[in-house]
Amino acid sequence: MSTILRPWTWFVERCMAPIDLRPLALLRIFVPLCIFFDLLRVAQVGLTKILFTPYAQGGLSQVQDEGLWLHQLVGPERAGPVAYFVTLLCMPLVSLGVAARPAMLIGALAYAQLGHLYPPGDRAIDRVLRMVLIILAFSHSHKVWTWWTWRRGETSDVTGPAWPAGLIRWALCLIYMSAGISKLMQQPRWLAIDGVPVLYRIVTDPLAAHLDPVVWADTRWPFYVGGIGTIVMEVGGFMVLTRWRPWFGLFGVAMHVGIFGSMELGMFSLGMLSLYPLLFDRWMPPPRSQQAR
Amino acid sequence: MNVSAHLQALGCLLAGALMLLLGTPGVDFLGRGDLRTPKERAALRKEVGEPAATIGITLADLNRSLRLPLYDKVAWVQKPFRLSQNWSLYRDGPHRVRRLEIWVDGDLKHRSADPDYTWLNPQLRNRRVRPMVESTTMKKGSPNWRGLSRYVGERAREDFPGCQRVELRAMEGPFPGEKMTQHHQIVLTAPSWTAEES
Repeated sequence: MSTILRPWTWFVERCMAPIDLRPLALLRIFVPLCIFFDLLRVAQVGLTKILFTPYAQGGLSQVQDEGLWLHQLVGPERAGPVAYFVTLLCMPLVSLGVAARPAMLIGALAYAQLGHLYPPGDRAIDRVLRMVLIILAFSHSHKVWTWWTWRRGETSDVTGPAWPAGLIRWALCLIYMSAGISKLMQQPRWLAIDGVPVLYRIVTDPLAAHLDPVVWADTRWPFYVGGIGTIVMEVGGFMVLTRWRPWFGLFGVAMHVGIFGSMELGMFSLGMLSLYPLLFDRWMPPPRSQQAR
Repeated sequence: MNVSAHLQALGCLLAGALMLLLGTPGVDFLGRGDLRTPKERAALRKEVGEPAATIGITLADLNRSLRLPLYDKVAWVQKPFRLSQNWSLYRDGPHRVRRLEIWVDGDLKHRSADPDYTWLNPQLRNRRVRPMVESTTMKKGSPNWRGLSRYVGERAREDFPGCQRVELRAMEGPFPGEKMTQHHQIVLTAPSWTAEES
């Protein structure tokens, strides 16, 4: 075999290596649930109409994104409700594994239209979860822990190609490393142990968090330690690609739980944690049918 | 191995390479004009010293000459699913404490992160509305201040029938925020309820 073909063959073998599908199935269950409940929350507080309607029709945002096309199809007043209900319908289908692959793609497309309609509210976590849904659509995650496998009493001892899990881990690695390096490049004081800690300014910002800046003003050390820990964890995002990823996952859980407890970023922490089954895959007990053997 | 295996591996490789190109850690937040002029480069050298400055300048040059031309050719793939690969999140916190206050007919009804004034909290603290509240509070003439103030005005008329004046006051001050002053305000008054920013 030539020297060019050998690495390619190695790569193809790595991509197609059979892996336990349960971690991917957990993503297929959790990711759409995050989106589903986040959208229900929007309805619960009565924001559906004003968020997903252009300003001229009575909505909040004066700015719409050029990727918006649904309004040409169904009209500017109906585009929001249509995209909202299509997304809302698709997400439980994905979780249940019923028509999962088309539901992932249609759901992600409709969810993207909501983002194009209301760009200020379409945050990084929305982009992450859409990207994961699209990758999952090419995986075999719909073969385990679905409504149908439950009805038929099928086992969870099913394998599929490794590459979708690897690609999602690659995305996580880029996300964490990018966030960490850009933090450090723009604000080296993330690593400082004097002056006002950067993390303190973030988690006591009244516009985004609920810790009182006055109450916490004299408590510096938790913020210095938290800030340094954040940088170490994020710059160390490449650990996601190694076999030590469950240990990295523990740090990630701590960071996201901290963010969830101190800031008001909606589903950000839960959405990121919904991807963590891919970090803890090595610690998962074997499937039931294998245990029985 | 069959053809399908090779195609899947090729797709994976392309997707991974695309993600790396579109969201390269360390340069994805650099603008096209960053660190271009001798003045900017000198300022960076003075601020961070060597070798960090040379590394930064080299990265900015590579980004401009190599990555961004490729980026421009493939960036369209992100559009349909709105998948922008820029992940430089929460780079720095705010340097001043800012709060939005809403006054209805002279009574304070809402103040950011104040448990005593929570009117419209579920709406204004919702993760999708919060960025708009943030931009409206941070600077005068933000892109969506009209939409936000119209919504607040409508809700004030619903919840406080007969009200005549609604004020959105953008307050700010140095950390920890004990001394706050008004940066700008948006006022809506009956009967026209047209929002005026000043």
